[in-house]
Amino acid sequence: MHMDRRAGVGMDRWRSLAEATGKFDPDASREFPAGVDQPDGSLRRRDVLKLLGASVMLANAAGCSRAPRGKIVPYAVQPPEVTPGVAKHYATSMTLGGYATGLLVESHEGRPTKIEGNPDHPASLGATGLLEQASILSLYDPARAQGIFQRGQPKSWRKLVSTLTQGARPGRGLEGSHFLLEPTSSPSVGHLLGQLQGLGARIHYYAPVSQNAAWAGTRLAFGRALDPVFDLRRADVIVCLDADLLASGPFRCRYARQFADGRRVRSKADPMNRLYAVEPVLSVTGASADHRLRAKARDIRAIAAALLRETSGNVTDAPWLSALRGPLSKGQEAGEVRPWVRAVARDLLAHRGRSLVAAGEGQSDVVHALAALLNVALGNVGETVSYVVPAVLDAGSSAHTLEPLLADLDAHRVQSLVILGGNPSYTAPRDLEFSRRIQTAKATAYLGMYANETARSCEWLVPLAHYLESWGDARALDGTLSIVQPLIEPLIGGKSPTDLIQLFVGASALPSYDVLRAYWKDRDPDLDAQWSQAVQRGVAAATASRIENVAVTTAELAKRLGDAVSSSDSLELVVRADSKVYDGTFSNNAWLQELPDAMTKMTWGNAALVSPTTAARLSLTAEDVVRLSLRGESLLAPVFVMPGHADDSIALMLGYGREGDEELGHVGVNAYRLRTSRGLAFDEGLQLEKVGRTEPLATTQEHWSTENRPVALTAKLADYEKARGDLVSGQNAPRQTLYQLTPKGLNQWAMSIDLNVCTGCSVCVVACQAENNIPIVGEEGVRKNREMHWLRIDRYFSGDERDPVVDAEPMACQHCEKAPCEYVCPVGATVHSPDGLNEMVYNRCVGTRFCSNNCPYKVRRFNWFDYNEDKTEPQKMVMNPDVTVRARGVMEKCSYCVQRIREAEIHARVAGGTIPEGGVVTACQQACPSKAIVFGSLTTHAAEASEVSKLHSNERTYNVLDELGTAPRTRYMIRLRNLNPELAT
Amino acid sequence: MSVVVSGDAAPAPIDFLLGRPSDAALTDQLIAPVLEPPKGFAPLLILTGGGTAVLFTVIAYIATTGIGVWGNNIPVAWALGIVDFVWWIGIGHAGTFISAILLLVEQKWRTSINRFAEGMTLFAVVQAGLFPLLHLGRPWFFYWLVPYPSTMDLWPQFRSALPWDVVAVSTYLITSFLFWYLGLVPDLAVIRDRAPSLLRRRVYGVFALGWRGSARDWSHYRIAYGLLAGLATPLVISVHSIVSMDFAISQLPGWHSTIFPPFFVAGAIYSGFAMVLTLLIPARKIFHLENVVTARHFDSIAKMLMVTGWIVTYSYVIEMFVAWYSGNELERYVQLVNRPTGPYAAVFWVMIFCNCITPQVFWWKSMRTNTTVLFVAAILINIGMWTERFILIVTSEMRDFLTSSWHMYKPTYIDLTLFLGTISFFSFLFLLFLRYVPFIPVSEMKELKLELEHHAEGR
Repeated sequence: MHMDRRAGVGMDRWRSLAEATGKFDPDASREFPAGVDQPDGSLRRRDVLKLLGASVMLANAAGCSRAPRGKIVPYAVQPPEVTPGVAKHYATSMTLGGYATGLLVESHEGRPTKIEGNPDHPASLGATGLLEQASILSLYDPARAQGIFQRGQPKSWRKLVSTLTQGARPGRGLEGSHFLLEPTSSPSVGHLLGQLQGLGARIHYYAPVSQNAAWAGTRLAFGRALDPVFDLRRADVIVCLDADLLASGPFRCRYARQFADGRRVRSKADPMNRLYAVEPVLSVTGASADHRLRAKARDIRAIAAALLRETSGNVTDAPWLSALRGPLSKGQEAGEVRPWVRAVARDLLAHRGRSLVAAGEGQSDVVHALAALLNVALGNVGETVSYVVPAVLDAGSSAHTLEPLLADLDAHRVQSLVILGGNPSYTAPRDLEFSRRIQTAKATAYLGMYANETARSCEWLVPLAHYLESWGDARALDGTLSIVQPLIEPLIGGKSPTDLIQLFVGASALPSYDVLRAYWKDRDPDLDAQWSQAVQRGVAAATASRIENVAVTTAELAKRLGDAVSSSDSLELVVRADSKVYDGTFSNNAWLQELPDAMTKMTWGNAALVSPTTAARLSLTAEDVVRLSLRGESLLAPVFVMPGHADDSIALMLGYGREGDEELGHVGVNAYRLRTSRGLAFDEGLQLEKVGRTEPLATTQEHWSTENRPVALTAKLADYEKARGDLVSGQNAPRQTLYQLTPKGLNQWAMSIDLNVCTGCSVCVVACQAENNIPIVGEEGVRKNREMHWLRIDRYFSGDERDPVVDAEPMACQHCEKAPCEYVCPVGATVHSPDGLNEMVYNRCVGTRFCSNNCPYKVRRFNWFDYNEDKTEPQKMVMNPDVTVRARGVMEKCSYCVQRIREAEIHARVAGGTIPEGGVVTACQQACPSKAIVFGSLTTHAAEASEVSKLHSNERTYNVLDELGTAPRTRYMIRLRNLNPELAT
Repeated sequence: MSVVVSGDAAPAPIDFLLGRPSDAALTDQLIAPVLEPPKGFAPLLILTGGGTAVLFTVIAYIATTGIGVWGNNIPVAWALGIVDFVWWIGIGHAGTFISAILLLVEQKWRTSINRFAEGMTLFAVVQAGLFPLLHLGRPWFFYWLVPYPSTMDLWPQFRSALPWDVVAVSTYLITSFLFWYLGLVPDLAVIRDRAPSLLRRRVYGVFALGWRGSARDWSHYRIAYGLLAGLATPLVISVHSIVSMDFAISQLPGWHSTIFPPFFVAGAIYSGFAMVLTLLIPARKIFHLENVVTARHFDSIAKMLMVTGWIVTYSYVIEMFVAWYSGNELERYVQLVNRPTGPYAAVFWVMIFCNCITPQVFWWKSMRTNTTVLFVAAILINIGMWTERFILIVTSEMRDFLTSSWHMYKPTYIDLTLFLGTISFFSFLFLLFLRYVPFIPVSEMKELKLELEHHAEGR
């Protein structure tokens, strides 16, 4: 130990003389003298590190300059009606074929996300049809035409205006200008069209599916074109002659509701109506019918005549009948249907004034006339059916045909042709060769949503505004004035017909809102005074058309009835607007393409529907590809063998086999190729031959028999009336159990589905998809059975395969009190809430899919891929922000619209009360036109039991798969068939 | 029992160890594959290694794209993935049966084949373990099935059979591995002591855990080995019983059956022994092990196949009988209509042929010791057991309660590639095992030799 003397520590000791005398270099004795490890002069390691640290700090300090100044503005002063997170509803209307259905559209932060019915509108009564529900997806369709194009080159609006109005000065005249629109009932547009006509322009209307035959029919019967308006509430017996009253037509939601009201049998004392249907193709109405007769479309005329003959036998006070007796007796219907016709006629006669005969738009004018006369003969006019002047402009005139336009085109008299909406190049009868003939027009412009077949034939393409982006007006079938109110600014510069027409009228181009207001201010000052109220409600009060008095005219009809209808054994082709894509308007709507057709359960395409008998005769099996040839044109189509289809009749739905930007519509085959003016709805002489290959079809249900399992129960009304106690024994008795559950929630949610009222129309399926952000899986996905619909309609056939009883059963998560899915989830991602819901916790799900295996109802759906990853920005806007969008690898299922339940609970809590009866309405319940679904809480604080709890203990109620002991909260009510004893089957 | 010939006479045809080699000769023979591998090894390794690479590529594809690349759908939510899982796990059971149960009942024929079989078990369980992970929709959250104290205070939902699976399979993997490794230690020491190169000596030295062969080492070894055998024995029954619970606790007709645990366990041992044969017969030929794996071994294995094959056959019959006897419409449909006559009837009858008819050849002793017959039968039985799992899983799911959800199932190329990939991976691991580890236990064989000699001398 060496103590440094300089430190002055310790005793002074030295080791050598040198040290003692001070000549000692203390450093030398150190092993490591100070500084020996430092290089001389140059930068030391430590210094380097010090400098490094300092420079970094300084650099940071230098970089810490202030960000450029800018201002952001909070949403502090927001529009008073917008509260982020709270949706608002706006009333508007959608038109189809010119007739309006009122809607309420839910809007989140200024964009529409969900369509509901408008309870105040006569065509809606709170419900919607398939097409209305899905129409919101078309608003956000990325395939929509993105701008104005002239022969493919983008052009501006100003260029279009200057080109089209070249030479057109105010007052100059519009000779040679032709306008082709879809049928419309809009008064304000009508006014503008009148102005155009005043200037010499010619107006034409065309739609492939229209009321033309119906108007021609009433002209035959009553001398003028009229629209029948039915009141099914007053009808005990209804006969549909190829009329899909419950699922198509301008008043389909209303009729479905009225029909359902006549079937809502809650006790044995309740009456029930009876429905007869005659049709070639199984429709929703036919499936609901108590008695259904299969007949070729062309044979229905003879059946209608026979009905009139049979019912008019006893009628003595109708002079017009005697004029027709002769012609009526000429046509003889086939022998085997005579008993049926006689029995129906007797039933109709027994319900004079309380019956109804309806003809479908796919039948000829003669059939419509016969139906009208039947109603007259039975005394139904003024009771169950009334006639009004059609709301559609120029109904029944030649303006609704293409012949005048084509004649002018061929004579080169058309200077400019403006096509406003529709798709005539695709939908016009093939023999008219529309696309070729419009090339003679000097200038052509098309106002349309997509660059489609018509756009390719025209010079200009102008993007059409969706109805959710437009102001306008329209009328319902009964004439009620409906307002069309936009919910969002045109997303891509879409224009309405008003915008385009104005250019020609010569007025300075006003926004369509101003045009609308100006028209009504002028036309109806009362309405103008009440304008905001009308817009808020969506309807103008008391604007229904006056009911017309009708008088029968027989001259024309007698002549037509005398026309020999050649009997034919050849195959018939029936073409109809598809229930989903309609006439092609909705081809690019993924929700509709993936929706299983109500009766065939087909998705993503169409097929030639054949009856089992005919298929056996022609040696056809499902998915065989055949060549269909008719009048010189042929196409290939896959076959679908359909129980309940008429023999020797092949049906092909319109709207498929598209070309152009609507890529989703390319699936299927284009039935328009076989549709000529000779057979707009049905034609004969179809040739069919197999080509020796098959094409897979994407259907969601392969097996249509219940295999005698008690799943969708039906009983005869007569048996129900005689039965004692529950129809399905043991269903409502208290259940024996080892494991007693006592749910603790204030509300106990439950659902009741009345199968007697459900028609299987599938609106609820689309509504659920829209509300809950359910993804699309595509055709390939459906073929692999991975469709994601939380709610599905199971459609069962029973009885004779050729003429089956059809039962539809909506099936979604049953929210079982003893759910089999809950105990098998390894991570506890599916749990039971205190208020009775089986809850799916998406965040916890790891995707083992054991729950799906154990669900006997198979209502759970799995995200096999990330179905949302390639959604574009506009497509994301349709999503409901109240519902989680599920990731890849998680299960999902019906949640009883838990978002709506919780929202109602929050409101109730804020208001300090409880949720009232009807306070929570699920999406499926709200959309259902028949109101077949009832949802609510089994427990209530009100004095009276809730409707759903009453229904749960109704004698018609049962559980599906009750024997498994799942104790589902969704219970069903047995369907009843009101059979005519004379036609007992 | 063996006919023991004393001393230096020619060995009797049925015996556990032919000839009476000296300890050194026996050791030499048994570690020869490790020290001097046969030719043609490298190409095989490359081939199976390539297959393994394909496997991992496919796994990455599935994990990043989604389970949709398989053929699964609703209702057939479990398909080839689970079929393969159960098949692989089942195969593993023979190894543990041989190692543990046969040890506890002191069957001498286990000695030469037990490590081989246990290695097979280990690698089979590795393959099996891939599938439940891959099968998940969100495999990165697989650990939620493991009971760990999470910050969310969430445990697995224990009423479900899948967390039981996690426990069972992981216990099985760990126990099998420990058992196998423990048994290996003395033999690794042998190689360490005879290693030709320094590198090898060091590597084997590390894995030999400092084994010195002292009496104390042997004593500890014996105790540990016995304990592990005792632990592993119940696993033979429990693991596949729990796997069968994945089906038995559900309510699907055709799954909801109490016979499943014993049925599955028997089937597992059945397929496991078949796989042992499939691997053992070529290995024996290639490595010239006819004297340590003898006709006696094959005889015993074939008898095991008979026993388990009959239990499996009995289970089929009972299922069908009880379904009929119960009068339950749904059970009758699955067992008596859908399986034998439905869309997959061909697969069903292949299963019956392979599982029920094939082992009947083993009534004859000559068939039981004929390696060609054994090999073919083993392949058929493995095919049969795969088809059994397929029939069991798919036919019950595809047609259950509501006829509206009846749908067909079709596997995709990814399904098949994945399965073949796991076979490749298994082969790859097994080849590595054969290459680097003495797969016939050296010390146990020497011990057996001693026992047989004592027995022959009447001691």
